[in-house]
Amino acid sequence: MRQDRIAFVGACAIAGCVLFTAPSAQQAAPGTAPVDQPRGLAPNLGRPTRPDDVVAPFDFDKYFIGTWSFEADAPDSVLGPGGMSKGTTTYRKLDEGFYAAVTEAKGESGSFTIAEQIAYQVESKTAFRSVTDSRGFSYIEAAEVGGNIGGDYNLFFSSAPFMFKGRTVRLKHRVAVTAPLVHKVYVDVSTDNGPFLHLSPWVFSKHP
Amino acid sequence: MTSRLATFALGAGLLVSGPSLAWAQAPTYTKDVAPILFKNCSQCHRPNEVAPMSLMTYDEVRPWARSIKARVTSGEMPPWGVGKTSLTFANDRHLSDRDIKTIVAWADSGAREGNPADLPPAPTYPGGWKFNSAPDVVVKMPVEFTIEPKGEYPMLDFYVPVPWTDGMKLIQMSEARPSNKAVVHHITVSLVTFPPGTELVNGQPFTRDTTGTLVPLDRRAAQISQSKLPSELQIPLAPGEKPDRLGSVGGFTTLLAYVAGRGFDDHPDGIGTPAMPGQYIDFNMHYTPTGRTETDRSELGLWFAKPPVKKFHFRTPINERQIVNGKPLNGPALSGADVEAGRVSQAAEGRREGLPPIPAYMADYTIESELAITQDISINGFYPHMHVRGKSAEYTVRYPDGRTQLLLEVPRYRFDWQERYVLTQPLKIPKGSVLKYRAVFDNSASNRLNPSPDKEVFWSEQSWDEMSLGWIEYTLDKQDLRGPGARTQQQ
Repeated sequence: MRQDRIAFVGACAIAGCVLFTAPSAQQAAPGTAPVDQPRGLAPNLGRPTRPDDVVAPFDFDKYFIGTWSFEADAPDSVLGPGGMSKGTTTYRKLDEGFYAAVTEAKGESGSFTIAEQIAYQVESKTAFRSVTDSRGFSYIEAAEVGGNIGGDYNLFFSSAPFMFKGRTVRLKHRVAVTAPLVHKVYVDVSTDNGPFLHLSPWVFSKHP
Repeated sequence: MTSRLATFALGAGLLVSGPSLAWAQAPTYTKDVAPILFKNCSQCHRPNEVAPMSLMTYDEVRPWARSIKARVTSGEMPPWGVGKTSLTFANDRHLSDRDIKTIVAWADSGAREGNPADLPPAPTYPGGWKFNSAPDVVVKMPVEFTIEPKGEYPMLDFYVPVPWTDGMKLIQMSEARPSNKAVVHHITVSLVTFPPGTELVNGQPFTRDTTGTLVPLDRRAAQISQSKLPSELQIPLAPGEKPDRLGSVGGFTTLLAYVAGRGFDDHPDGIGTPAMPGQYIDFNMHYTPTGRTETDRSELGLWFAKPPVKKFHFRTPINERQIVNGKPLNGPALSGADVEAGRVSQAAEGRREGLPPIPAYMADYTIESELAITQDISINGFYPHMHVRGKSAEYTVRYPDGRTQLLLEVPRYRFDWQERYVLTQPLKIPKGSVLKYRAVFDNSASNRLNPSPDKEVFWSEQSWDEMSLGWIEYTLDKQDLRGPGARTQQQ
């Protein structure tokens, strides 16, 4: 167990991901699935996948609800000074297909809060966010939501243009769901209708 | 302002004999940092490349100063996966301690630009290609392909005729470039030979039946054996020599593979993949849906070897015997004496269909594989390939006299940055040796790239399944293309 954890910490240090402790049931016999072990989003077919297999809709409730820790290493940008930011994001369900999330974060230039309301329409594979950031800007975003039979899902958010400090800003957030306990949010920003520049991913992790 | 900056430098511990001296001696971008970034980072960190941001100018680098410091200090950047090894690598891109200290001091002292006159010329990448010259030939996929948001795609092949007419050429360098990196899981480029009369329609091979109607070519039935290849592509055998896997046609017809972290191959002078008019370039495409409609039309750049050409470039995976979690799957371990005496059955090659699935939540699933070296070869490089459960890899060799040598350890394999490890000097491996490859897979929830730790993992090219391929790149010591009659002489 200890060796496993050390190896994992080492891997994360290299990959720059957020550290979290492996679940205590990690040492369960291979092939068994204790109830507290995380599970993926793709159906367990019990066989190799085929080209005609149907992708299950993204399950927002199963994946997001709860509290996630995050870490981001951002560059300086139109949105403010860069540097390391850490904090938590807590998702809760408001109604069927509607959610709220609150992010409490602390960065090198101070603390900030992000409040958002989210709508997810399973049938149309679309999502919407209304976001208010305590650093002084608000925006709305729409996303295509999809994935593949292996359980990798993406939410491709694009914002409407909004004004911040006299500049016209557009954001893109690609939420890449890669593992039951880890996802990344890739952020790109455009200023005054210029090209989109990458702002490095926010890496989220969750305790089971 | 000056005093504030000097105070900052003092706080960073950079002063030697006073604020003004420290300020003057602090590294600058133009003089100290740009040369490091140009040399070690620009190949990926430039516009339209695999890295998410360009680091080619001060304006591009300055906002990332703190992040660059953190990444180089941790060793995360530049990416380099070698752990223990007895060898040296030509593409070793890890930074020296001195370079790391320079970057740290620069970031800590305010990440100044410095004197523009100190800036060295930025490296040039003609046409955006990774090598510093334009390709001799550029080949595009024959069609733009649309990737729909569905579950999975099988491997797809698109063929293009070899576009030159003046005989066989050795391709010394090559680069494959997707037009849409988000959907391309891999590109494998090969040279294939179809029967006379084959016609291409939208990159797919057809032949005409007895009525003259175009019908799809049965590619498996049409496979060309080595004996039917043009003489330029044959590896003649010495008297009494048996055909073997190391010299077979399959070893030199794969040009290169594009995956995250690679897709550009270069070989020593005079060594390359042979290609000639009448053959076809096969873009074997593996697309992974992202969840929305995407398109791709990948392209290929080729650079030819200059005379004198010397040898074909070969590659093969180490997979003749496989031992899974300590249990042999296909025959006993290879004996050096048997290999040296030629008592090795090539039919024992490992097949992924025979590999048991990786159980759910299993953290250390291990496959050990072996390859008998049946003639003298020289290894030029290694390329371990696994998917998202890949954890570590290791190559060793056992020489005919019983000595063993650790060749390469990759302690933290990364699916999102797969490296090809190119040797500084070729490594001679004599006949009778046994190469070994050990791959470890992590299907636990601790694996941050594992989408489904609750599922057993099967074996296929799909990224959510697994592969275990410990490739070696090599040349045959007996081959010499430098003149008539010298081409196949034993050394």
